[in-house]
This record gives sequence, C-alpha cells and structure tokens, in this order.
Amino acid sequence: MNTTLLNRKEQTLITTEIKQFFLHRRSLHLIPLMMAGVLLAFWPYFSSPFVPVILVLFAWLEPQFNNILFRTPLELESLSVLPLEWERIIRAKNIATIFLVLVMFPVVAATILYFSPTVVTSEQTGKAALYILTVLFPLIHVGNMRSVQHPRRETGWQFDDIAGIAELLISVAILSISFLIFTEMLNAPALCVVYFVATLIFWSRYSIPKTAELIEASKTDICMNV
Amino acid sequence: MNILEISGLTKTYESGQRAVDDLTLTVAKGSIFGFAGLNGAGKTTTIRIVAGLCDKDSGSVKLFGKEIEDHDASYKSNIGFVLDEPLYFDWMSAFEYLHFVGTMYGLSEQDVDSRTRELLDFFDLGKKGNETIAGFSTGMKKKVSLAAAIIHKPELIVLDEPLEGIDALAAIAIKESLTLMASKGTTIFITSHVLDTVERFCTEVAIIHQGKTLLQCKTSEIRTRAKGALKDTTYQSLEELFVDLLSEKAAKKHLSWL
Repeated sequence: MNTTLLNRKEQTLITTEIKQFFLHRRSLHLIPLMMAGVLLAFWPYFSSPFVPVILVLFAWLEPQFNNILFRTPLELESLSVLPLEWERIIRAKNIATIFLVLVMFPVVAATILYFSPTVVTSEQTGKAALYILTVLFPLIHVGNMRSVQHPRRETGWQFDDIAGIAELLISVAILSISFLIFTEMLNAPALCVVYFVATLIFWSRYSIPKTAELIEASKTDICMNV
Repeated sequence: MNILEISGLTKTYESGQRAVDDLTLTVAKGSIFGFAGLNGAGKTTTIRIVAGLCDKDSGSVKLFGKEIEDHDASYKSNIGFVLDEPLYFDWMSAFEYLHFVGTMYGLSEQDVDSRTRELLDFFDLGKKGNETIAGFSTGMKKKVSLAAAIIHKPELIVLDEPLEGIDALAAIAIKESLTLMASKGTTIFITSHVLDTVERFCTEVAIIHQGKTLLQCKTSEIRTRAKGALKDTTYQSLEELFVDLLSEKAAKKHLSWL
C-alpha cells in the first residue's frame, strides 16, 4: 500500500464523499431519526443517555458504512474507469465516514440530549466518546465487508435498507462487548484507547487491502448482477 | 505501433452466455477504429474488460504494448472512456465533475481549471456548467462524458455507442471533436451498431459477431477484403455488406401474420 499520508486525489475523494452524503436525499432521514431519538431519550431503562444518540447516529450513517461502493447508483463503475487504486478509494471513503461520525456525534447528541429528561454528567460524556473510539474501526471493517458482499445500487427506505440498519445496529451491540469489558468489568477505560489504536492499525494494514482485494475479485459480478 | 492488442479474448458470464469468444484485433496508433457488430455481439463486454470493469476468462489484452494486470489501474491514466452508461456523479454540476475527473487524472489545479472552462465552452455547455448533470438532456450528458474522457489529453479514447440517443447537432459536435483529436495523434476506438457511422467516420474497422472477429481491415478496403465471403461486390453501404456477411450465420426470421 502507498504510504503517502493524503495526496490531492484522496483529499478530493474525501470532500466529494462528504458533500455527496449531505446532498443525497437520504441525509434528510436524520429528521425522523432524530425525532425517534428524542422519544427514545424518555425511556428510563437505557444504561446511558447517549444510547439513543448512538442508535440515531449509526442508523443515519448506515450507507456510509455498509454501502461504500454505491453511494450513487453507478459509483463503482464511475470510479473503476479512473486511474485510482481501490485501496486509496476505500481509505478516502472510510476517512470521510470517520469525519462524519466525529462531526455529527456532538450535533446529534446536543439535539437529543437537549430534550432528554436525564441530566448528563461529564463522566457519561467521556464514556460516550471512548465508546465511539472503541467501536468505530471495527464497525468500518464490518461495513467494508458488507459493502462488497451485499451492495445496493440505491439507498432509501427499502427493505434492504432497513435490513442494513438492523444489521449495523446488531454489529454495534456485539462490538460494544469490548467496551463493556474494559469499562465495567476491568474498570480500565484506558484500555479503550489501546484498543482504538489496535483497531486503527488493523483497519489500515488489513481491512483496506482486504476490501480492495475483494472488490477486484468480485467487481464483475457486482457490475453485472447488482 | 499498436496501441491496443487483443488476442484470444474469451469471456463467459455466470449465466453460461459466452459474450466474447476467442476475439482477436489490433488497433494502430492514430487510427479511428470502428468496432462494429449487432446488439449483443460482444462489443460492450470487450470494452468493459479493457476498462477494468469486467474480468476476462482467458486471452490477452495489451495496452501501449503492456499486458493489463488486475490490480494495476495506472494504465487508465492514458485512456479516456465514454461507456454505454453515463458514468458520473449526476449530483455534481458539469464544472464540478470535470474538476473532479481532472484531479483524479493527476492534472495540476491550474490545468484542471483552465481545461474545464475550455471544454465547457467547446461543447457549448458554458451556460449550463453550474447546473447539476442530472437535469441535462442525453446529448448534453454525452458531451460531459466526452469532455471528462479527454480532459487529461489521453493517447487512446474508448467510446461505446457515443452517438446513441443524441440529436444530429450533438452528434456532429462529437464527431468533429473526435476527428480533431485523431488529427492530433489520439487513437479513437469506437463501437457502434450503426454501420453507416462506422463507414463514414472510421479509418479502420473490425466486425464482431457472436463474440468473434469476422473481419478487420481499413474501411476503404473492406469491400475488397470481404469479397471472398460475399455474394455481391457492389454494395452501396457497409450495412448491406454486413447483412450479407452475417446472412449465413444468422437465421432469417419471419412473422407469420405479415
């Protein structure tokens, strides 16, 4: 893999990806999701007031994780004819997703928690930030794999999209186990940071090349059958 | 020198359909090469293999004298593609899209900017340059595709049915721009099932049927070269010749009620 940090092509790919996300009509799904999140905030049995925030954020960003090849219907083909290595494309797309998570998390949290009856402590906020760091890269890896195995040319409110959201939230729940072990069982939140670094390395060294390899191997089927 | 050399190319889809069957052809530098055949003859599959959108089963595809490798996308920096489906982000404006493509081809910011403006002007898209491509007519979309395919001044332009579904004025503009590029040394590889277009426009032609090359020669020599395989030698058009060439291979169909 080329180790240049971010060249001009990648910077353009990242900004294009972010712009594309906000210009797609699916970004408007944040409004009903946020309303649902506000209602969920009144449910008293969540372990943290940030749970509805996490659910809304990941449900909204689902295609950004689970459908990276078709943010628009002919994106895979459009990118294939350009002189771009898939590793660079995936890295740029994943970085755009990370950016969206990090920027939109405070926005979604501020909105939902404004209506929440629970008073949010600084400890809960810190834990929520650690939680995001813990699940982010594993979730990106799961999404990269799913993007190649179950691509969707269109995203909206179809059955496949709902199934995608359900699958992503199940992944979020499963990936939360490591966070619970570090913070609740071992009472060592610092391990979340170590875990974050380990998953970052895993993403960079394994997930990106593996996804690129899978795309190369299955692009004919994807182009023909999806 | 040959820009593109294809030999023994074969591709069978999962459905069992053999789209390309031991196809062989060569495209010389600087030529306007017509790749003609009926719908479903294997033209688009061949182009998709060259573009890296589809894997071949066997055979060889050499571009600029070098075999295409699966994970190497660098060969595409010297080619421009206009495929059958419009390949772009239609939420972008024409200006943004050409900027994006120019950047992906590694042009400097200055070159991207100046070439984008020139191309929009050349293809009469200047006034609509800031409108999203989604709202464009088919002809305008083809012009955007062509502009994107030439922004990096490639040595080879591959076009799949570029004149399909567009009006006469847009077709003339596209043909003029391709002729201009060919005169400057760019090689043009163009597929079409409209044989008149191929005959009038191309300097060399290959006829493909059921995935195989039936004939490849200079357009001016086609009647002489095909003589042995044909019933007549006084064809008015390539279309007549083509029908005759395929008449032995394609069963004639009739409607019982006509």
